[in-house]
Amino acid sequence: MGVKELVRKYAVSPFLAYIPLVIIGLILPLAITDDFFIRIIVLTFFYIMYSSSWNLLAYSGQASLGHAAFLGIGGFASTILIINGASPVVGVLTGALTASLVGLFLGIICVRLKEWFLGLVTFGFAIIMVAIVNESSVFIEALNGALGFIGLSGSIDPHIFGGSLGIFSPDLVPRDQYYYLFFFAMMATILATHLIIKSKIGFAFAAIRENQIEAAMMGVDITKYKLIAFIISTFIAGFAGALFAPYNYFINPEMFSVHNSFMPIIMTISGGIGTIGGPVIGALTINLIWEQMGLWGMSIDRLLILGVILVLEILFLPKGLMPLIKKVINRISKVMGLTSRDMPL
Amino acid sequence: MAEITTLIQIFIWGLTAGCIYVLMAVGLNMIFGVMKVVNFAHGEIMMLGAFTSFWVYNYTGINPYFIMFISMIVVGIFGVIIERYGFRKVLGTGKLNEIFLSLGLIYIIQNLSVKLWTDDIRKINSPFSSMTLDLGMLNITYDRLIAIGFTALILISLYLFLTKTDVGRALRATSQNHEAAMLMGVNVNHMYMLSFGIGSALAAAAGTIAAILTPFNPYMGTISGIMAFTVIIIGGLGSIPGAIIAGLMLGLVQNFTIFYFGGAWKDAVAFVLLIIVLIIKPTGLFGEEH
Amino acid sequence: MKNVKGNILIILLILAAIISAGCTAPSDEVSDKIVVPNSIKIGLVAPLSGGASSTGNDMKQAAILAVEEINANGGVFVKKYDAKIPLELVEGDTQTSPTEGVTAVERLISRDNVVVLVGGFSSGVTLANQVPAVGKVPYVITGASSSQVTRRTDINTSYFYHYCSTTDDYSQPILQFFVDELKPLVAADRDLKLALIYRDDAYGKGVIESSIAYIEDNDLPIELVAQEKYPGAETDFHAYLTKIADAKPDAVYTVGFVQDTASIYIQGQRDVGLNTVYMAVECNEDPAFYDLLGEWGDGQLLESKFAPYAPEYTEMMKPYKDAYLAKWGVMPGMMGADTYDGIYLVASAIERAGTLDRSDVNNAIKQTNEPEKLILMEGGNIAFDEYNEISPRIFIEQMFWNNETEELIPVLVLPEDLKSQDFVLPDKYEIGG
Repeated sequence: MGVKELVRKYAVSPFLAYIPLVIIGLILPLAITDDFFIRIIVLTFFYIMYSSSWNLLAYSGQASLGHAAFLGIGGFASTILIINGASPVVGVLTGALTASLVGLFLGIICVRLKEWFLGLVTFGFAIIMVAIVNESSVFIEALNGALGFIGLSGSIDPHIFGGSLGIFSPDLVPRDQYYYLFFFAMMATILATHLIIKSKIGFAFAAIRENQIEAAMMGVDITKYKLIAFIISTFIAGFAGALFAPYNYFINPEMFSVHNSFMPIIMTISGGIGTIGGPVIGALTINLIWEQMGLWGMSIDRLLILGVILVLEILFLPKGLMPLIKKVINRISKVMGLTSRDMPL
Repeated sequence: MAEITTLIQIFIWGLTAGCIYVLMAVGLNMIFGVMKVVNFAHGEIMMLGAFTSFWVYNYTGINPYFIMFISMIVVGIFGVIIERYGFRKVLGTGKLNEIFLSLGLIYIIQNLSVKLWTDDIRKINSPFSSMTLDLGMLNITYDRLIAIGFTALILISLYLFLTKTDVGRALRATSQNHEAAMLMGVNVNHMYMLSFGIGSALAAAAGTIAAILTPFNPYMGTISGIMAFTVIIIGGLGSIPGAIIAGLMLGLVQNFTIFYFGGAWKDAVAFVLLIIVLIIKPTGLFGEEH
Repeated sequence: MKNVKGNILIILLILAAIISAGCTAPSDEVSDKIVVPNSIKIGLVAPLSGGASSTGNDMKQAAILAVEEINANGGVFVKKYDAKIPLELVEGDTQTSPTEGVTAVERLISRDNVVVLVGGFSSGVTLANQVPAVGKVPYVITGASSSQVTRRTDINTSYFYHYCSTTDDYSQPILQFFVDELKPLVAADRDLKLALIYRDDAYGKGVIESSIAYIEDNDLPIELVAQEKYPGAETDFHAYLTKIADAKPDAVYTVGFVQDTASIYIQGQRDVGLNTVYMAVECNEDPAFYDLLGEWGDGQLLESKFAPYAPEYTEMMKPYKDAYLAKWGVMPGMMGADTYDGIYLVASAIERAGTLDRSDVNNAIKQTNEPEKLILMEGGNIAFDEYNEISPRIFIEQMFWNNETEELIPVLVLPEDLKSQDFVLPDKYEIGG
């Protein structure tokens, strides 16, 4: 039996083709000594999770303009628990659940709203969260208000953090603890969004997005599925925020910033809105461009460039990079005498 | 318990802040009425209005209230360009694209302004800046009174334009019914450009007044622009009286919120109001049932 | 099979993107053979863009000036290499944001391999961005006044040095000034009514907490009649100041950065009619502050530890001011002066350490004991105490508007041995109560 047959036999799922990518992901920290580069990659993993969460909500026709609210709620809830003695696993999961619960509450408000009404309410909700967190210390001193929580790497030891998950060897340096933590969290997120979008739930989301009235006529329970979208999406956002806070050493109300709300939108649109691969490709390209521009000492310029990218994409590339990438691959495949089926992107 | 003069003073700060929201919201309402387009970057256009006035003032030193009209024209033309080469292209491709386009415009206009003019705070000194109307217990600065007067003047002119001129009537017709207006020979594309131009000019007036009253920098607009949307939703989509009342109300609520609850709640209270209104009366205070 | 190939292509594409976008060759490690480095890298952590960029650029300009002066003599002599090595300044822009600050410091440490960090403006930003440097890189903090930067207990602070006055350092003289100088003039027979208005961040809260503690611990005859906090990006202070005016204070103590503080002074006097004494803290000692205030600064107060506009009180002032003006065309500010001193401090520590090893340099900084430079010290020497803090001398300046030259000029009214005149009430001053 030749190699080709072997591969054909065992490559039952196109997903197996991603195994090399996973392997690269697994060995990357061993091959790279540059700590800052690893940091950029970890941030990319974080943005992939966060953008996927935004994308899932948008997939159901609900585009949030204030998703940072849930990033922050997850981060704050988890941080407060962990520095008060909860185990990191409990902290992170509770953080994500809290975000999800608040998401359900906001979802109930938003269920009747469309497009920009929804955009305004979600945008406003992030602003309201800033006020609540800023003023929290007036009621409970320990919540620190605008100061947030600093020096989390002191309080939340990454060894405990990763070690208590029971996956990582305690010998790993903190850098790699975090790397693998984010890597597996990202993998889980992508897998989960894939399963959801390909399931009955995902079908209902798409139906609602395309035409709410028709979807209702087909028997889709609009309210239920819109709320499900909110619950899942905000859970992932809260999860990402809960992991991000200790990695970034601190958390403060800046987490709720408008920029943090807009970033997943720009990334998802760049990749391709409403696809599973879109947020991945988008977060990867935009974050690498973003950090590279940072290395070149750009600060205002890179925000400007981000705006230009967004406008150009809306005008000329509304489906993002995904179709382009597929096209390039198809072209190459054709040249090489191969025909390529649709990728599970 | 605060003194009554203090409360009147807060009322005046709120009323003038409200005037700025009114100008923003009336302009937005017009654009939305005619084009049904959502421009979250309206605040950036307001900021450009403030900067246009600032630079003209800086180089000529003439009375900023006169410069306001120059700024309205310049920024009005800029609005037409944005409409023609930006929003027109995504018109009909879905509201989300309009929203995302305006987010992109926020990033571009804001950061280009920072790049060109830095983010240092600027101020426009009106010749009346240190003059106050002395009412015994209370002083009201002339600039505040002028701000209220100019807002009224602009709104009345707009009302006359919309009701007494042919172009104004065509604009209103387009706003009510596209097809009917087209059948009557109205060039809808021209109406789009006109509405965007007028809306942007009103934003420029708002920006200039804001810049005379308080210092500003390129970040002044983002929240104001989105706040103007909450105003038109609270007031009721398409309702000009609704926008005026809701705008003044928002200015007052924000300033009394600072007074009673502290500055942290200033922006949040607007969105709390928005959510309450959307829950109780989704068509806004003065909106018509669809 | 075909799928697999297609997917591998995607993977290769992504990999190519990763590698081309972020990956650079790892930096050269020092081998056994002694190679003299081309330069000694010093990381400057400052807000070069964003809300506090005028302060950040002052820090940068002063740092460049110090580096050029040192390099004009060939650089710093390092015994290990038996050679003079020039300094190289590597900028890390915090954008006045904690998140960007962390990224910038991470980059300076792991990518640029700086020997030491200097700078750090804004307590909130610095408290976050000092964490990546814990136990690794010495960090001379020249622009964050919260005493927490060197006294926090959640991290090891042995690599952090506070070359800057702390909130305690200046709260005490400011409050004492109100009691000793202002109270006899306006409230001789009752407590002085003081209003506080501050930024809602680590810096604002730090000053407020240490002020309140000082008033309580020393039983000062001061009654706090109003405490207002505002979000950092605020520009419209009318409602806040109306509320403060309602409490009828004898003085207003502001804790903010240049732009907000200037707005408070102006809107308070011009629009709200709150004609009282305003006091600001030292980070406002910046040319932009005087420009923004103009005539509205007349008779008002500023706490500082570096006063380039006031009559000269130290020999170093004139050469520094001249050199700064000649190079940059603008007047120096206080944060820059801190940073200028900071660069010299670091250069001398490297020379004493004799190596570029971060922990040796850290030990050398710890043992610093040399004559004061731009910032005057109690006792005349720069030395770090058990908290790695210095003891700077604090001034109070009163600013006066000169109608003819149209300039706002400060004079020192405290301390006793340096002052050129006594504090006088501003012309329009109205007693509170």
